[in-house]
Amino acid sequence: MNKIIFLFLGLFLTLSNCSTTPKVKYEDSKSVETVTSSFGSTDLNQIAESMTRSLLQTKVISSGPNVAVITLAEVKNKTSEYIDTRVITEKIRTQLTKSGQVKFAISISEMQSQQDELKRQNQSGLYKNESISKSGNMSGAKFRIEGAISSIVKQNKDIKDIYYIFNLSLVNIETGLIEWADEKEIRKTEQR
Amino acid sequence: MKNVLLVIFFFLVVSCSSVPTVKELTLRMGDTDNIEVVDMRSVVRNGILTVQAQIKNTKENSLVSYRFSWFNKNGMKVFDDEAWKPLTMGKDHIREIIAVAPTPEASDFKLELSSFK
Repeated sequence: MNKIIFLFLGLFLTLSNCSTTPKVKYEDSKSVETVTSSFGSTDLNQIAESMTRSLLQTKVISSGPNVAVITLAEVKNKTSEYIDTRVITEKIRTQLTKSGQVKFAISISEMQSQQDELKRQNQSGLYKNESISKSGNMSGAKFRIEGAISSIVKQNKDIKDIYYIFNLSLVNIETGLIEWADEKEIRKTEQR
Repeated sequence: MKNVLLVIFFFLVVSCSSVPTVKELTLRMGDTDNIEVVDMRSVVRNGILTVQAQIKNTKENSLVSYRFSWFNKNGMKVFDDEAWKPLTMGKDHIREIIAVAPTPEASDFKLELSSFK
């Protein structure tokens, strides 16, 4: 009889250990994240901030008579890991727009929705004439932002070393001249 | 009488020119006693406030993170919180940290230091 009680007790303790509920808590989105050595939120935030602040200081942006109109071009991912480079450029765009120093024209990837909306307003015949956003009044960008992120990874059985370099440049669309360029380097190591 | 007036004038000038100290411009969170702010200076470049600070680790290898907070002329915070930037500093290592304000509206700043594991 005692054996059966001990067996049930053992089974109960085993099952109760297995069914532990995961602990969930909110963390500061700006804090340093070191879960793994792969590209993370701290790297993304550092890159976006560094590029934005550097760009804001350039004379092209800060000393022109009019607010500079910029568009986002591609940022190439030349690393071996998956990085959504669009998130980096969109973060840069958000911070630059919030600074009030620049305006952004929609990028190529957002063009289709812009065209669709203009067509809907101008060609559907559903809208009051005075409320329609007319076709042919879009502002063209004077500059485009483009860049690339690359990495060098070195690894032995104990240490993994990752070096990221993010390049960004501001190109004058009319002249083709690179008006500003900067880079941000990040190096991380992971020890086993 | 002339001397008394000069002394009063001197105290008025000293009390009016309240340049904040490095300690007043630094906000520490967690155990950062080993990080000494050696120097701090700021300049307005192309209409944007730029800050340069020199920090020194006085003890063993440390993981420290930093960021800047930006304020307008009325002392109100401008822009979102910056991301914490990690630094690995060996004993007696000195690092220059340079920060640029996110908007021309920023006219004052605070350096925030924090430790992380």
